[in-house]
Amino acid sequence: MLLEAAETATNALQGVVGLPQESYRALAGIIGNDTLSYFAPELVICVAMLLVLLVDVSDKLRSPRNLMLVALVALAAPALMILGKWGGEALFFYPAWGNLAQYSNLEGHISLQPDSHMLVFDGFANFFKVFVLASGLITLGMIHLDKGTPRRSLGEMLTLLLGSVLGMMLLASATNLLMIYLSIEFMSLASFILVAFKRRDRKGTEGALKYMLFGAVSSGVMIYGISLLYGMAGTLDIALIGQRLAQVNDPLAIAMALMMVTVGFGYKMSIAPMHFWAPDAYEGAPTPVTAFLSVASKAAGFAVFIRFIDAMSAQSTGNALPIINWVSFVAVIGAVTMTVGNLTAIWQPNVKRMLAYSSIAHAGYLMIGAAVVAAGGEIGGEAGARIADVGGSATAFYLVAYCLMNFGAFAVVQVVANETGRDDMNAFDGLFKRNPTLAVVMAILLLSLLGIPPTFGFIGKARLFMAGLEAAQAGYPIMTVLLVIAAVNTTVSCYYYFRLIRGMFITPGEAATANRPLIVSNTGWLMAGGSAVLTLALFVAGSFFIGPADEARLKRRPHLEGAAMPQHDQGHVEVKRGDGSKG
Amino acid sequence: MLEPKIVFALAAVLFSVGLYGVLSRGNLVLLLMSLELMLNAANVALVGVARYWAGMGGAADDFSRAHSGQFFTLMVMAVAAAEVGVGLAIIVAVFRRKHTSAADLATELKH
Amino acid sequence: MLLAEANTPVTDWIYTLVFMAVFVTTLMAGLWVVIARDVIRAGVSLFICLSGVAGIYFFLNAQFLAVVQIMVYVGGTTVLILFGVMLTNRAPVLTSRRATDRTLAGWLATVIVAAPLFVILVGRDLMEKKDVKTANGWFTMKEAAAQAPINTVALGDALLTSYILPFEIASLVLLVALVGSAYLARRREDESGIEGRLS
Repeated sequence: MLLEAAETATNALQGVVGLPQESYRALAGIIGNDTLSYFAPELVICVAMLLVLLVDVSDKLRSPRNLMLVALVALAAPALMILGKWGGEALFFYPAWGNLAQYSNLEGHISLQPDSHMLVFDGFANFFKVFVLASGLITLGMIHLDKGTPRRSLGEMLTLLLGSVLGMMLLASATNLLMIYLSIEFMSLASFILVAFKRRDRKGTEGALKYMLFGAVSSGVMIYGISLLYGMAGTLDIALIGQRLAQVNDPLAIAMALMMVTVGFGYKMSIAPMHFWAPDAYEGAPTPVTAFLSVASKAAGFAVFIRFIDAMSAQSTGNALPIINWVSFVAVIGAVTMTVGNLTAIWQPNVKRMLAYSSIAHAGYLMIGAAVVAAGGEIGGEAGARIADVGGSATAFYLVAYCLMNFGAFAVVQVVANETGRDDMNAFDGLFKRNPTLAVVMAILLLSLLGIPPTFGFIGKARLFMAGLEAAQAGYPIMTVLLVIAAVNTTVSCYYYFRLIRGMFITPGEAATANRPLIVSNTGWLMAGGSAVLTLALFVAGSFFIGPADEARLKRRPHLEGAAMPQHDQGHVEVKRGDGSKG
Repeated sequence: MLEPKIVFALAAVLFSVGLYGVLSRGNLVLLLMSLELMLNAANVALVGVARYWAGMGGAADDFSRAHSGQFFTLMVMAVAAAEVGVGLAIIVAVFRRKHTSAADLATELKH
Repeated sequence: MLLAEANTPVTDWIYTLVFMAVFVTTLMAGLWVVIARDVIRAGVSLFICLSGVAGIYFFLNAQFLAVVQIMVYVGGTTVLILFGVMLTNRAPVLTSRRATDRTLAGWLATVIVAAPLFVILVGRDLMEKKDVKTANGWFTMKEAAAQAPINTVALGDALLTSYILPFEIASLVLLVALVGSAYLARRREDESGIEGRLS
């Protein structure tokens, strides 16, 4: 397996040089099984995790540079492999990420039993995998930038980062509740430690503690919900569960089960009732980890949540309608989340905490997309599938924008913290005097987070709103309400974004440092400036990401033969043990 | 003879008790114990359900239907043990700084 | 299977008795975990409760899981938690602090979660008669005593066929947990000074 994976990696590298399609075919031959070849990107990361550990214990090879190199290859190669496989023709850039049909005809499931599909490799999963890998790459850059990370522990940090990325990739393509649970735990366990990575730092360890407790409780609740679902449907495959729940007429049980499972996902997305861990964990974690968690972890959570909603809302929630309606449920959660996030962000004195609450608010905005998916699922049929796809792709698109601006903003925080050793609001006072470009960069990123026109964030938000409007027109008035609340929330969020901007441009900084220029390293410019430039450029060329985001389509399985609920005779239950014991 | 409802009632009670413990306990180690209760309750429910589906018989996918519950439980056991390990490591790391495990999270970490 | 295949009324009687004993013990021990003010006592009752759960697994025809439960939870996790008690406190006895509002929150959430669960699981008989469709759900579960092939061999088969992928992923999860907890818990020789920037 190891050799094969090494082959895989070499082939991926060859692919970079220009042997796209053939090498992947060969790769499939090497691994011996066409379905397993889909799993090759994940295998590369598995091997790289072990490799990082090995390099870390080797006296000769052990150096930050080598470790970073391994991690870089481990994150870049799988992304290229997925893109190559996905786009079919070109490796890096693709006019439209078409050609998916070529692969969707293949049975992209890994399983032996008919109803134990573990993973699905559809456009949706591919999009989120590439997204997570890209976030991992940016995080690598930020680790490079970060002065606070203990260098001697870089090996552990990269192992955990790769593990977390692997968990997220698995989560993006999991179609089985067992796989979903495992992947969530995988990414969670790795991120708990990453948050606590500055072991001497009180905030870090306590943030990790809170994160861990919340995670464990919500995964416990999720398992119980899964046991209810399994009890009702007799399978762990979410597509099958969705189809079988249609035959179960028990609103309370379905509603309870769905809500309990949503708790598990909601904790990863940091939506309203499960968001308490986020500010503390975000504040205490090293800044690269904070950025990584706020982007990649959230994206993975949304990926699985949308997949889950799509499977569940197909036919089943009709049965739970008196108690829970997915669209209203998701919309209410979204509204609460964005309101709580924005209102709390106003009071935060610390920039990292403010960005944490702003990321909670953004989870609320993203719930618009999830609600659209739910609406599409409820409508059903071709029209419903189209609306659901619009919702999914709007979410994916907004996540791209969110990734750029959030990573950029955290990179600026990082740069300032490197210089001043602080990350509260006052550290940003008078930034314009000390380094005008950096202040402008931060302002652009904040405006993008706010969603003001000349930025990519605006396009992302506009697409989300358009998707929401489409659902509203399809007969969901609650979506209109949600959109109005989102608009009001955007206005509220002006306050704290502009407060920071005012601090940078108008408020004079502390006298001691006011006139000393703030020096930014090349990596810093690359990270912060790059994302700001991209944010502006993609406002013009935003259509570039529309293709990929539209290609992020869920592959819905047709009605399965095994979908019928196994029946047992109503009249007399077969009892072998005789009936003497129990009345 | 073994009335399944009894098993599910046990699971529900243990789960609720664990949830209560998680929310009301101040001591971190006690909190972890309550967490274990919750996880075990969910496991009992899963195994109970697996027992039920195994008893149904008949359908083609009988195999995985009956086994997925037990297998899920197995995975939960493995992962939860790892989670407790990580949790204790974090608690120990916190404790090294504070020298108390009765850390009241609310006092240190504002919302 | 050990017990379930017995046929005579006497063994049935013993079966019931043993089951009720295990059941009550598990329940009481579980309650005591939350009530006890003393950490060691809570730990011991957790030990008893987890052993009781293993017993329940035997009754549910999940012998392999029962053994794993004893090895992992009873043998591993409980001991780990007791180590935690020792590592985090110099005194062997640690009393827990309780805040009234926390208790209140506990009650509130528990009632909100527990009430529907009981309605779903236990109080279902009333609804059952009204609606035939409900019979598909698990709440109408009768003792479906047909001995389906849940046994260790079949589980092992599943482990290496249908569930090979989760099985392998679980090993990676354990690896990550191992690396992480080793990092957090080990002596901090590396933090005397943070080295310079990369490259």
